Amino acid sequence: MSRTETWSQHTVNIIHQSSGYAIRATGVEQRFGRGPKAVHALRGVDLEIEAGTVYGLLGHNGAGKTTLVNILTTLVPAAGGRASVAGFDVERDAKQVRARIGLTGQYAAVDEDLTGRENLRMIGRLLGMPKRTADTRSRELLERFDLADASERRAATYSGGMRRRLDLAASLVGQPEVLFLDEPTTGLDPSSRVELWDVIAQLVDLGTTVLLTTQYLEEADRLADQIGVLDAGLMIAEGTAAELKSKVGGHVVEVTVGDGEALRSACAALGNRSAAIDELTRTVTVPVEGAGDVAPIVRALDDRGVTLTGLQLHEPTLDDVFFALTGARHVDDEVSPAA
Amino acid sequence: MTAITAATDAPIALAARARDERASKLTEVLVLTQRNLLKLIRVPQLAFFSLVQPILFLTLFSQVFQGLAKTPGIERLHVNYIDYLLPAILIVTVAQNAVQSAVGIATDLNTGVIDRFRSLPISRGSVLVARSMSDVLRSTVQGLIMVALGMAVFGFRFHGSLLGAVAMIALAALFAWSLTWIFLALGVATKNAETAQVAGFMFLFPLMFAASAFVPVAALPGWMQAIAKVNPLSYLTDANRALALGWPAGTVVLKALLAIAIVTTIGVTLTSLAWKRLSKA
Repeated sequence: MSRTETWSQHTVNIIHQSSGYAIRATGVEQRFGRGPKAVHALRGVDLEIEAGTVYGLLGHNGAGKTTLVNILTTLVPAAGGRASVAGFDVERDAKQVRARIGLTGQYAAVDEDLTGRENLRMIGRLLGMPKRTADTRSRELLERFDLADASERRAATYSGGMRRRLDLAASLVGQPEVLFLDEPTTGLDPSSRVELWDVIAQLVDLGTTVLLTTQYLEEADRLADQIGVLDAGLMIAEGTAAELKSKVGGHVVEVTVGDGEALRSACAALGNRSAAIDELTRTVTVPVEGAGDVAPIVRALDDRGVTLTGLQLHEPTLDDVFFALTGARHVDDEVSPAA
Repeated sequence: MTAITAATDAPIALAARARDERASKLTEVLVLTQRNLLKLIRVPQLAFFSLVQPILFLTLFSQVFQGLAKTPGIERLHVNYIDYLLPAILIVTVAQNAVQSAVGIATDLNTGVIDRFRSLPISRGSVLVARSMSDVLRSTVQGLIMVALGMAVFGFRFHGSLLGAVAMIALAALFAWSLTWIFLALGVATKNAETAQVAGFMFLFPLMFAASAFVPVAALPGWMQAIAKVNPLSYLTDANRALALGWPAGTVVLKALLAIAIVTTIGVTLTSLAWKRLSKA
């Protein structure tokens, strides 16, 4: 083990190599299609992610998250702008970038017909590891991701959570300096999601730089040091989770009423406190500092004789952040984060 | 998630990897070919039907076309019809198998496995070359089963030299490899296994029949003769037939090799064009 290097030394090397930034992008643009039908998927995105940190890229479906990941992971060239990952230009030095990154895409890209072990060994061999190293590395990762017992089973027999873990393990075979996680928990049940969060949090402790895309504010909140909000190809806000939430208020109260008339009365009662009105679900959303602010709201509604059908106090969701930032509810309701 | 080992127990970075150390292209192709073959074995139904297919083809074609043995064009040759037919069925079978290349690559593209490969520091051609290698291996095994069965059950005999017999199998394998590239292009372009399969057979069927495979070209209607004359299947059939029947084979084999070279060039060009388009979508 003379070539062994501790993780912290490794991290220092990374920082040295890339002058502090693991990912740097300026004015990245992407267009799909041509002429009047062209879709401007990214409209000049700037990004600076410090080595050893976790960056959460937050946005709805179609915001451009995956497009940006595809550019940074060298899968697709950008239409404009520049980007470097681990100190290498994603277009000019694509191979160097690929040698230093790990990618876990939206769909677990594991080979279903191969066993867990075969999947990992294959990646190791493709990364240029001798057979024995690839074996050792696979065993390590299988144990680490709690897949040792299932290592000789075909990945097709794995549960959704196990597949994601195998997928994540596959992206770690090469000890990437920068790890891209594109919606790693989308489609997972809540307990598998929490499992995966634990795993990701451990990686973060070890100093890997992570770019995580997600539709869930809670996920970004749990894992990311810095969060960027992407909307229709533009970065509309950046900051820590606390900074973003402070724009919304600490919590959100959702008042639901029975009909349109009650909705108007509720709005009148709440005056300028109401932040968002959804006529379809007859819901008024009010940002509040904490639970103590709920009573005055209820009193104000009661004074007006508004009958409530629902009252909820919850943490701000991505939708609430979007509303605070853009003043518009996202129309794409089917993709709003699950509770 | 209590069972996941704590971070301190097994650090992710045990050994620093020399980042610019790469797998050689040969290793890449071998590893990926092995992966494709493993997949073939792991789906027992696929493996089973792949083995049954040559048996079925040989049985059906030899029975259905038996009547053709009585046509003057073939009677004049004074050969056993099975000796005339088998070298052709061999070519037709490997051509049909090549369609599976389109299905295989399209399936990989859809599962995201290709994106993973593309995010690795490997040569972009390796994935395709590996696919062509594993598919050719499968075709060759099927071809060998067919020849063995032909000899054991249907009375097929080589009238040429041993070298001729080896050359016949080798030509079929080479042809399978060249066709694989045409179908890889189709699979990459359509990115859909079903579309690729349907389109593949639509392209292949006319080529199978507008050829010298089942009857002499002279027995075909005029317009089909025109197709048969530019159809690589005809050239391969002629060469294989000559090798099996022990006829003079030099010229026909050269023509077959030329046909293979042309098909390969077209196929590789189309595949790399389609592959480049991948990174634009």
